[in-house]
Amino acid sequence: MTELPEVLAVVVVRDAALPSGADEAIAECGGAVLLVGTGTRAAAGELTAARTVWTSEVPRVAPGALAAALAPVLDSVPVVLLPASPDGRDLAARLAFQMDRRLFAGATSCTSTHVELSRVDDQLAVEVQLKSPVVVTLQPGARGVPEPVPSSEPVELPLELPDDVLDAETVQVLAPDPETVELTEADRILGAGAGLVRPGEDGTTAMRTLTEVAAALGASAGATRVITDAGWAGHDRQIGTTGVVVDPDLYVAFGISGASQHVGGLGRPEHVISVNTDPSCPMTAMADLGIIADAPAVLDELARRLNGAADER
Amino acid sequence: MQIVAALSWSWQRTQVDPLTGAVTAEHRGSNAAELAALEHALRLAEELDGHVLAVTVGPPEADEVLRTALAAGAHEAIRVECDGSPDPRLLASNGAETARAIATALSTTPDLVLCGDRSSDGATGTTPAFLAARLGAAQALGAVRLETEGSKVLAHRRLDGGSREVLRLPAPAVVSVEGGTRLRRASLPAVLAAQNTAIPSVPFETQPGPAVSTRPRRPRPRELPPPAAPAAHDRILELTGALVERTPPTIVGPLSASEAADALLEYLQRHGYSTVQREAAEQS
Amino acid sequence: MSVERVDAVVVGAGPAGSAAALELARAGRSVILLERGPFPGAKNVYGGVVYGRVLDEVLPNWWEEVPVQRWVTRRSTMVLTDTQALTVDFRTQDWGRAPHNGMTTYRADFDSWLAGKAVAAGAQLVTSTVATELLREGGRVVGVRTDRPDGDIRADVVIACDGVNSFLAKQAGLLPTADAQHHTLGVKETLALPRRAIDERFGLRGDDGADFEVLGCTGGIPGGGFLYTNRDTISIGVVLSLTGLAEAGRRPEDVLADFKSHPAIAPYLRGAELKEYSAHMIPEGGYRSMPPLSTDGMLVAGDAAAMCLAAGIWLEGVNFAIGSGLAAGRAAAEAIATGSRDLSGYRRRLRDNFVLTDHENLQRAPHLVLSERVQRQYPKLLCDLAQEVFTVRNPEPKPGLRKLFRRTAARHGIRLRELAADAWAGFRTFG
Ligand SMILES: Cc1cc2nc3c(=O)[nH]c(=O)nc-3n(C[C@H](O)[C@H](O)[C@H](O)COP(=O)(O)OP(=O)(O)OC[C@H]3O[C@@H](n4cnc5c(N)ncnc54)[C@H](O)[C@@H]3O)c2cc1C
Ligand SMILES: Cc1cc2nc3c(=O)[nH]c(=O)nc-3n(C[C@H](O)[C@H](O)[C@H](O)COP(=O)(O)OP(=O)(O)OC[C@H]3O[C@@H](n4cnc5c(N)ncnc54)[C@H](O)[C@@H]3O)c2cc1C
Ligand SMILES: Nc1ncnc2c1ncn2[C@@H]1O[C@H](COP(=O)(O)O)[C@@H](O)[C@H]1O
Repeated sequence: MTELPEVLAVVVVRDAALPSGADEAIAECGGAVLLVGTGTRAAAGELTAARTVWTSEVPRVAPGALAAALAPVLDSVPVVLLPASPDGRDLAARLAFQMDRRLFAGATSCTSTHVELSRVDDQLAVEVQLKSPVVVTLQPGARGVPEPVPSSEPVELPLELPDDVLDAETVQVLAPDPETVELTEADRILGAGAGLVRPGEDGTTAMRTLTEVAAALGASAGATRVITDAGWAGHDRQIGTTGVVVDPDLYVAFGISGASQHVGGLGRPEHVISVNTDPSCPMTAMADLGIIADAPAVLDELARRLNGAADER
Repeated sequence: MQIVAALSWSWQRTQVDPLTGAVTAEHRGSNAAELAALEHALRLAEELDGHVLAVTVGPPEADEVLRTALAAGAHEAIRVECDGSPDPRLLASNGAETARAIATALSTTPDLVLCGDRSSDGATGTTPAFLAARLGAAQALGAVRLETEGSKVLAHRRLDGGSREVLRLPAPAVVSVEGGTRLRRASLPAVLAAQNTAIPSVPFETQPGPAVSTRPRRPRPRELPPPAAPAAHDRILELTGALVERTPPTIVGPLSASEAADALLEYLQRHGYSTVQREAAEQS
Repeated sequence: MSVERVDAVVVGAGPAGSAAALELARAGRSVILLERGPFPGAKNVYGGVVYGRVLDEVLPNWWEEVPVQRWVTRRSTMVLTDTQALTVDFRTQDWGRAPHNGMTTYRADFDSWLAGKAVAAGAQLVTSTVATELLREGGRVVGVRTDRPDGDIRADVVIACDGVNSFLAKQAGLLPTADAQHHTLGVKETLALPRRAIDERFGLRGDDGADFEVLGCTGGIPGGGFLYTNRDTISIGVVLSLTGLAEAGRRPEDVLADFKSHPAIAPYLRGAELKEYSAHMIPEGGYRSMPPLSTDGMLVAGDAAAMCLAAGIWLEGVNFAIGSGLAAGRAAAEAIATGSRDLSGYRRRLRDNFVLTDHENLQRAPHLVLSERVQRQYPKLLCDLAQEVFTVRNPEPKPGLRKLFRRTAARHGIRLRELAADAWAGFRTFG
């Protein structure tokens, strides 16, 4: 058995399904990965960025027990990198605590000597020089997935889950609910960001208008986390790395700055329009058409025109 | 049942100078997710006959969020003395330290700790997991819904791709929740009473974070796959994107609302996204 | 249902409300100060200059702790036409020293600071809470209802400091006569600019600040403009007559945009980044449009009572709000202490200090400043006159000043008799 490398991706697998950002994390580690969870063998076959694969098949995915079992195994690995997917974020802090290491969460790049972290809603890059062993989570979408590389046969790394660690019990896993499916499968999406709601106003009205306009355009309505956190739209509407991952042809962003956590869930739309007052925000920079205008006013105008048209029918 | 609600006293509006990367911050308080955590704590306490302790790690001004909690119905509040200015060092990795600080305020291990899924300035969402590790508790991060099943709490949390996991929580457990559940409105007498309550505090010695350097964030260049064409000439064409038909990105404006709507609809039309408006026009 | 009982309840933690609550608390009265925003000053809009001397009698050496941006040491009055600008520029380092004259400060900071003083003195500040209704018994006001559960508060005195268009004053029937009611709209932008650039462009040093008042920058709509410096932002705005705005069919933000792009103004703003846009009403009628100031159990102060002094080269609301708030607080405390229902001490105090005195003296000012001639003709007249005086037309000889004056006035269709009348009116108004 080959020894574990200096930089290793640890990817939690559930029922052979890979989390978002798995291949990116693996590519960042030069292709070395330990898959841990259920259905790891089958998941190994789905990887595109892996060169060297270890698998640890365990009966259940439980962060506390996994951390306890993995800590001694990973002791020799100075940089342990996990994708910042739900299960990755769950495990990372537990591992760091167990291994008495620092955790650098939300990295946008990671080498054996440096990590760069995204902070302040993706406005600030914080660079840290690594002086001692660490655990790092990598922001999905920050790196991009490289071309497929050939992979070697996975090596099984047996892991015994302790039974004296307290973990929550998984009662069931619910399939994506219809609301979410509608959004994930939509070809056209209109997205609402903080700029669509005027300060002090209640964003539910704006969301309602957006949904109407979307309907008139045969599109679905999504939102950024600022909107869902404020309770103006359901959590199912949140697009991004911690929300729903979508893949439309057309994305129209209203008042969205384009933080990587949002854009990371956007897939590769063919056409992107950004309506924003800031011509230099990332969303406008990446758009095919950047419209510098007041988003709430533009939305109202669209509603007037499109609903006006709908009424005529 | 002992329930703890952890409310941060974090900078709510942080700005980064796009040229220098200098960080300025205004307005401290708790964010929507944390107030949602408090609301969940209060609801669970009502349902399961619980006692809610509100905790914050912060300077004396942070008593304000604890008073908000008391007014809304928390039974007790405690502050862990600690002042953090918006220091980039703390931005790098403060979840572990915050968890250690919160733990010092708890004389016994509570049955349930409710947190927001991330604070507004640290914003890594790592505090709750570190706290769970420290307390030897189970964890459920990023819950979008909480419900009870007898005396047990069930948490629905997001997994990838829109699916969700339902977790049954043992005690002790730490849950972090997303925002969206609004904190109840406190009654006037409760607000007034909370103002007159003395709030105990415990000392805490912070350990400094790692040395860091900061700059405004720019998206990382993406790696492109190497061109595949056999001939060098074709590879160059492929790399430079010459001869590939595409519409160059355009930025227009500032525009008025109606000009903007024109530009937007015209773009959609040009790229074959038929709108109801057009269908309506065709039908008439 | 439990009902809170206090000596006094003050609605609105703007400058007027905080001053009133401070005085009541200092007099040992129990007082609740209600504010609808999440903190005092959260949503409050104004231009940016506060004249702090009113604080002398409440807080010795207030300048040592007030959250100031800059101390105004330079005051310019500008008269603009589309292509011209005439400026009277005054500076004095005296204002840079205590006790100072004007200061620029942010409302969020200033209002929070003043409310903090009231709280430190013992007032109870309740934020995120709206007073929705007056509680009455017979004709007497006995408290307010708020939008919180169990939100009634009973009090001996209610002081309404809820700003322009006061909802509470209306409910109490304390209304100015309809035709005298007079509001202007203030719109304002805060623009970010590095501190060094501000220092250089405005010729400032250290904590020095500049205050520009501008006439003739509103596209013929009755009103005026202002430009103030903060530490690393600039406040710029226009104040516009509502009827004038409606008649001109223009949007206030367009008027402001024109002002900003005027050749005499634009160089100050180059490269500045918009941080905030806001708009707010200003009671501009002055003395003549003031409602009755009290009714049984209730006093009205600050903008709620149209105390704002807005007359051309003056735009002073905050100091008048504080002045009237202090008077209301003292009068209420006195009435409560003696168990009397007589609140007439309020008007007496206002008359004894600057608040009503200034208003009475300047009662014609709004009318004059907003008049057609002052707004539309004089700026052009003055600028043309200046241009004539400074234009050298050799080989033509220089005409005498008197001749130039006549000629320019005639060209603008202004008869000297009118000019003399306005000068006399101006003298009587401001003199
Ligand atoms: C661990 C973690 C996970 C996260 N996951 C997600 C996620 O899954 N999804 C997600 O969306 N976010 C996520 N975020 C949050 C993310 O970092 C950003 O904070 C968020 O996406 C910003 O949303 P926004 O663009 O709506 O708001 P802002 O960043 O505040 O941008 C508002 C934009 O509106 C513009 N604007 C303002 N006024 C107007 C106007 N009148 N007209 C037009 N434009 C205007 C502004 O110029 C600005 O560009 C996550 C953050 C963290 C730390
Ligand atoms: C554009 C503009 C520029 C100005 N420039 C200047 C200047 O440079 N210098 C100057 O001195 N003055 C200026 N003024 C005038 C000045 O802002 C006002 O005169 C002053 O703020 C009046 O103070 P106040 O306390 O009476 O009212 P406000 O400051 O309006 O305060 C009223 C308070 O009551 C609260 N409130 C209202 N209703 C309720 C309710 N029902 N329940 C609870 N709370 C409530 C509000 O939230 C607010 O905090 C300007 C005004 C404008 C609009
Ligand atoms: N200073 C603090 N005091 C109390 N709780 C905190 C503090 N900082 C973070 N938390 C809790 O931990 C959650 C996640 O914060 P963070 O790890 O900083 O993103 C917050 O939503 C709070 O519930």
